[in-house]
Amino acid sequence: MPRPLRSLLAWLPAVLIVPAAMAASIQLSEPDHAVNPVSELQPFDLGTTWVYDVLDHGKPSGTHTKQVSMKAGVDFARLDGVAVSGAYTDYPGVGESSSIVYLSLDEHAMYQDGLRQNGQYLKLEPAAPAYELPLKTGGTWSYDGTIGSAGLTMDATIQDITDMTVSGRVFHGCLHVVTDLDFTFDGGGGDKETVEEWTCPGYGTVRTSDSIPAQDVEITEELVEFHGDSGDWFAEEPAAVTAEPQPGDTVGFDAGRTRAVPEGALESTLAWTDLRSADIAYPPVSDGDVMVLGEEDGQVSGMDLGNGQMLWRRQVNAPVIAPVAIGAGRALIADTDKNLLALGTDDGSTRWIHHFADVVSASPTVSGSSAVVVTDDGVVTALDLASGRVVWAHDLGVRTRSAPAVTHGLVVVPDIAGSVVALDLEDGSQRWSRSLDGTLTAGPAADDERVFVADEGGVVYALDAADGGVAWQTRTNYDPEGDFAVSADAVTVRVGSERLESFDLHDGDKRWSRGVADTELSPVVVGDELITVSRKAEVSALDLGDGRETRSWSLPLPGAHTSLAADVPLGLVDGNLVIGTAMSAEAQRTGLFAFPVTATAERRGVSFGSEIRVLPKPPMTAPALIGDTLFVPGLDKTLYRSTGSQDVERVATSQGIQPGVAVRGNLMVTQIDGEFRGYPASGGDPLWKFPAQAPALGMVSAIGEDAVFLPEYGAGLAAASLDGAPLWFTPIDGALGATQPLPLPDGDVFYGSGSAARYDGGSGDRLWSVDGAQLFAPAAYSDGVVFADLIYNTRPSGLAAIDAGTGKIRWFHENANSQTLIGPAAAGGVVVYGDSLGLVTAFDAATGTELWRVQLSTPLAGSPVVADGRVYLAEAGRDEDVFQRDYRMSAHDLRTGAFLGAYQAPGTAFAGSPAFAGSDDGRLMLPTTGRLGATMVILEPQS
Amino acid sequence: MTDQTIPDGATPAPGAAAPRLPQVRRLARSARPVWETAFRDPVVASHLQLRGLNLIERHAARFGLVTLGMLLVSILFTDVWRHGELLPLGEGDRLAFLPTALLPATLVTLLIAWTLILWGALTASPLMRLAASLTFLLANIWLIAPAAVDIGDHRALDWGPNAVRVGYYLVPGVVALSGAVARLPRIRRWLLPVFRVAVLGGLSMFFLGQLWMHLAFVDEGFPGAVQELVDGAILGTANILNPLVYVAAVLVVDFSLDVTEGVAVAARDASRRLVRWLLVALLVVKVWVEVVRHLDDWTTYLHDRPWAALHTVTMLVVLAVTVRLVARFRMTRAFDTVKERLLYGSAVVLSLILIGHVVASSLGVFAITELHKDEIPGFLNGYPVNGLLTWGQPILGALAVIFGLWLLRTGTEDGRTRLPVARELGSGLVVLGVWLVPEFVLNAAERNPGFSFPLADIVITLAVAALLAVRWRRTETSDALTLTAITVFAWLALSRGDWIALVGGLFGLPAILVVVFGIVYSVAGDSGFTRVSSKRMPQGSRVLIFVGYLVLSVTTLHWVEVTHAENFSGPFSYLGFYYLGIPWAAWLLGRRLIDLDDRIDEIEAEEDAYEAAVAATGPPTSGEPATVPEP
Repeated sequence: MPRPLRSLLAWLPAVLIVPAAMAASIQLSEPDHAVNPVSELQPFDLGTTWVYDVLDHGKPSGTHTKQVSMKAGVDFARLDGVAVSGAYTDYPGVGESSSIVYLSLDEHAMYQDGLRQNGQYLKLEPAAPAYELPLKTGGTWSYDGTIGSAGLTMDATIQDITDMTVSGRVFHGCLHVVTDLDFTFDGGGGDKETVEEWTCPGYGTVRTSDSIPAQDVEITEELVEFHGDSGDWFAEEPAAVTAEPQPGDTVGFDAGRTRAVPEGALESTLAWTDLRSADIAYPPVSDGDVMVLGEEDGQVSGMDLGNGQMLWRRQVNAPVIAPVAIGAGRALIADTDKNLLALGTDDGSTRWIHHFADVVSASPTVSGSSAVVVTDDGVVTALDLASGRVVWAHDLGVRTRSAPAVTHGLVVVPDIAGSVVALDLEDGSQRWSRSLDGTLTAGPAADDERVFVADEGGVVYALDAADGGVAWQTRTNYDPEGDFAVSADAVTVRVGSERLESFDLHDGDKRWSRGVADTELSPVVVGDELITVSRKAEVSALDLGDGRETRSWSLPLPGAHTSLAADVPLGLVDGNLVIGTAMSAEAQRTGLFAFPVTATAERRGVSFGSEIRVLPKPPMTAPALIGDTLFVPGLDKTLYRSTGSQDVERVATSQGIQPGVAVRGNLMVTQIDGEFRGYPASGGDPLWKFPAQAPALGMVSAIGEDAVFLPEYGAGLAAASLDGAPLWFTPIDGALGATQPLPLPDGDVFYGSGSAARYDGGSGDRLWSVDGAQLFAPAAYSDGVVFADLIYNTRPSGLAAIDAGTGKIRWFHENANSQTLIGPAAAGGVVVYGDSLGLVTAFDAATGTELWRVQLSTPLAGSPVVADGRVYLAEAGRDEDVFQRDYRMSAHDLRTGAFLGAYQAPGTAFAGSPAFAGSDDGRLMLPTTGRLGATMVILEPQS
Repeated sequence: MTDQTIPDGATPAPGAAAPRLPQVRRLARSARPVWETAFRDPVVASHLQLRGLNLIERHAARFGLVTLGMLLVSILFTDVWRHGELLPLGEGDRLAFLPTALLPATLVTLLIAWTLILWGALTASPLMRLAASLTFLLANIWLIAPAAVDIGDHRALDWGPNAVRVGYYLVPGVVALSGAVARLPRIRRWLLPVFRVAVLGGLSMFFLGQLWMHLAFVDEGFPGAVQELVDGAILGTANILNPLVYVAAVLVVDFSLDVTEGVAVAARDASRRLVRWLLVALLVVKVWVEVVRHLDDWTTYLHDRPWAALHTVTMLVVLAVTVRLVARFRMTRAFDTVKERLLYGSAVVLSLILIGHVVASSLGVFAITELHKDEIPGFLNGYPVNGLLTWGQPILGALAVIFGLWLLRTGTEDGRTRLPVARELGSGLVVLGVWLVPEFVLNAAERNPGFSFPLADIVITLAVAALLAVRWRRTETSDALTLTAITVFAWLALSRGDWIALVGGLFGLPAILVVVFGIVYSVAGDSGFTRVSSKRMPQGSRVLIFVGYLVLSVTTLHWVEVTHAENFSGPFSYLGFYYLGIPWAAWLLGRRLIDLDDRIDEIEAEEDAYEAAVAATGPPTSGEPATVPEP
């Protein structure tokens, strides 16, 4: 054999085996997931959105928008389900309406697990099949189960598989399914319903027809818009939109990424805080009305900046991988599936999805009618903001991860090889390029005339925006990092982690260089100050002229043994500088602290000191706190007494439910089965016992100045002295209402079970009552007025202001959605009340005039707590979903409802019954679950 | 060049008169020196040599080289990897993205790399074996953290963590144990295959155990934790990549010189007049391209950064004077060997501080994961990387000067070369040290005004132009060729490989081509040290460890490039060019280009000798090259 051939053959084993080994390992690693045909039929991907035109008996009745909004799991066996949010603008006969449907998938079928509607979760037991294999003509599936308390039977048949024309487009291979449903309600009865639908591969349901002949219901829906894995489809070309630049609409504050607020002065008093339980990497952005924040777990939320209302929450494939940009009513979100989603800032629905060849890990830039997007493979793409279609694309040929800066019709993009390229915003053509000595380490930022960049050689360049010529260059003695702050006279950059250097904007002369506390954040300019935030969350304001520190302050710590780490780039939200930090506090990951930079942004913001109490079991009903002592009725029917983070002792265990506790001074009163017990709050055996009827939820005793008022379920109201001696008992017919006695200042008591009435504190005599009204929630008292959610049998119920002296109703607001166990709160001339749909309204206590309202995503988790001119609202969240994120407490200005702060706990830790409460000294108790299991977070509001 | 060989493909007709050659052949003949100097000679003299290895070692090395080749090609086409699904790596605002196929491929290449390194160590001295064992333990501690959680019913998740742990300790244990029997030749001989199998088995348990667990996660539809561990391991030890990137950067300079020299030699037959005017034309073109076209930029530069300009010129003068003083002696036989060792040695020494950081970090992880400490011990956490970079580097530079001067003195006696190696090495160290000391001191004092590669090029060009103008009438062909070579070399070298990237860009290849080229060139033309044996490291050991290191480093580079993690290669290439490339270029200039006229004479003599030899013995008939007597 010739030697060259022999030599070649000697390489053969290696040449064959190495690639084969690699190929085999790669092949083995490919997930072998059989695709369920149902998921190909009905898209399941996060963000997928359908918009339907709704017809009521053939007449237009608004639209129905449906979106796969987040991952969900209502069952631990099926944690990979999704929640599909739906919203009708004008549902026939109802009006505006929204719902959440939970869906899951296994190898046989797609299931509907439950439905949340009107503030209530209705579980389907068992889960009902939405589609079942095989998907072929004549295929059928049936269901016999319950939804909530109603019975439901269902028979579905695939009539045929056909092409379907909807809104002028032919969809191929659509399943035509007819489903007959039959509901059986508690009281008996229920009408038959027939739903006919056409569901097409890749696009899901394109047309439905729903009829209930007995009710003359005939509703048809036709798809007019679709956004999902199959692309974007519009029945009608969307109207062009143009973004109006708003300070803070992107990371770096503006399209030039100047990180400067020319006018204004930073205040050191908080405007608001937002404490969340997920990590964030990027600052929030805002269009002046809505703040959009992307979190590392893929959650994206839109919050009303006026009242803090969480307008929407959506989820993309986690994590959110680039700072969000906002413009023309769209928030641009990049996910790990190489998608850029445009979510509507008003409702979070997907307006378009663009799939790229590589991920978008740099913030997009919105300018005019385009969004300029840089993908990691070095392609710059301009997308039409209205439709998401490509306007132009330019391949840099070198990968890049820097957000572009836009100035005067130019898109300036650097690449990792050290080139800076300027593209025409209109058509993407290259206007100029400039090679630096090394890789870019800071920038780009652009003002009206120049582009600022720095390279790894430590050189800062000011390039003429017009032609890329070097206007000036200067070298720092350290490595510039991060981003520039560009003011009218100076450009400042962080060099290393402990120094800032400032240069004259016009000639590059060094103005000053000074050491600062260790930081990983780039500074920003506010007015004539430069703001820097240290890693330990200390804020320093430096004189922009000479770098001298003029003032400094620290962000509020949540607790003595916790810490903050400022690691999120500074953001600008509606005239507030927002500092994002990681938090080491238990059950808390992230804090956003907003400080006003303009006079209009000033508010009396609140932060929260937090203390954790570990609980053996989550609370069954509301806890009570006095001093350091916390009493929690546990789900295991045991009353616990906690005096420290891990110091918990059992007080008593009951056979039945624990309705709750009342505390005052050193006295704690609770009901244990057939007796009321008075315990010393400081611990120890019962001081006294008092006979009681069976316990009932919401019927909690109350401690007045001189007496304890004891609700006797179904019987009446009793009173005992503080040492347990019986004072009186007043029988009340039908005393079944879940309410708590309300001690009045003069020793009397207002009690609403059976009859809303005032009773003499000394004798128990009824002094006055409101005809035909009783209470199923606690009442509130302020300035001689009792505020109560009166329930009438014979007339509309509602919130009433009742003169405590005469029993006369001063004003009344009808409310069809009364919420059991949760009543109003009143102080400072304002009464705040939340209904069962989550609408919280504040009224002037004297006149009943509505002052403000906040629509929560879910109903309240406890009565509002009013203290120190603020009202605290906790919404219950969706505890049916193990991933739910709506459990959140927010603080509002009592008079205006302005958003002052929010605390989002990682998860609910109670089972239906309200468990959020406040203490007499203004602290708040919020049960949650965290790393330590069930815990009670005690929050202390701090200004 | 002592073992100069000429492949038969380049054989002129024996004894033939010089008939008028066809145009193509004339062109080929003119281009031949470029081919010979830039490619053939370095490869023939210093390519990685597998001859001399036993069968197992040869095959192992081939496995490594094939892996290396695949990785290097793959680095040029990273986009292909990213077409599929990407998994996010890390957290915060600097995520990287892992193509799902990359993880298994990387685990396989890591297995191959460590097999080569540890098999190589098995035949090295006991001390080397111990060092290799410790290196394995430290470099892979990041992968030992438990990656399994209790999901599904997978044997991989039950057994995988234990398999990984057993493999982790088995491998270094076997290598260390082999050291204990190193002095027992009989046992050692038959135990060696056993040790090799044990090492391969342990490594398979370690790396393929990770893969096994990963597959279980994939099967369950979870991303799992293996990719985060591998990412942590690679990024945590990425500084081991530094020497390779430094070497690649410097080799681009070396290659530039080879090309330049080849061009100059190719023009040796041209007339004096032609060469002089060609040089003038070159200078004009260069000045126009580099200066006139960017006059505004230069004006801005000189106005805004006069100290940087002064620093650049001063350092060039210092380098020139130093080279004139210590490197202006006739090339010795030791030049190639010293060049190679100086290259690798300086790259390693300059990386030591950061590699120390890797060691400290790895020990810290070891303390937490294996010794179950609550936190990293203070003495490890406080590894003074910044202090060492600030003050350690100037000291290293000063030591290089002192040691170099001592070697120069040792290597020279009465003006005659006594120890060529000492003198060559001494000159290189002095040039390197003289460049590094002021640079590092200025850095430490935070007063470094910066250095401009383009300005250095311009200064050299203008100096050549000035010299040509002053000595126009006295400039002979060889002088003009030398000046041409200096001009071209400065252009190529100080562009830091941009010209290679430019050429690659014509074929759609990315800028990382410069690093890839440097790595390939190191294997093909600067691996002479793998041809020799020593007591501590026999040739087989050298080859396997060297190839293993290359595979390991390129696996790291490949991971970083594909996942778009931190841009390691860019900054380190820059530092490599700045700290090593410039003095290296100056030293090479002094050692090789200044003697270019002698080299040309040498080459012509070689050709004459070749023709004489061919005339005497006839043309070579086999694939064996004809050995040419040293002129």
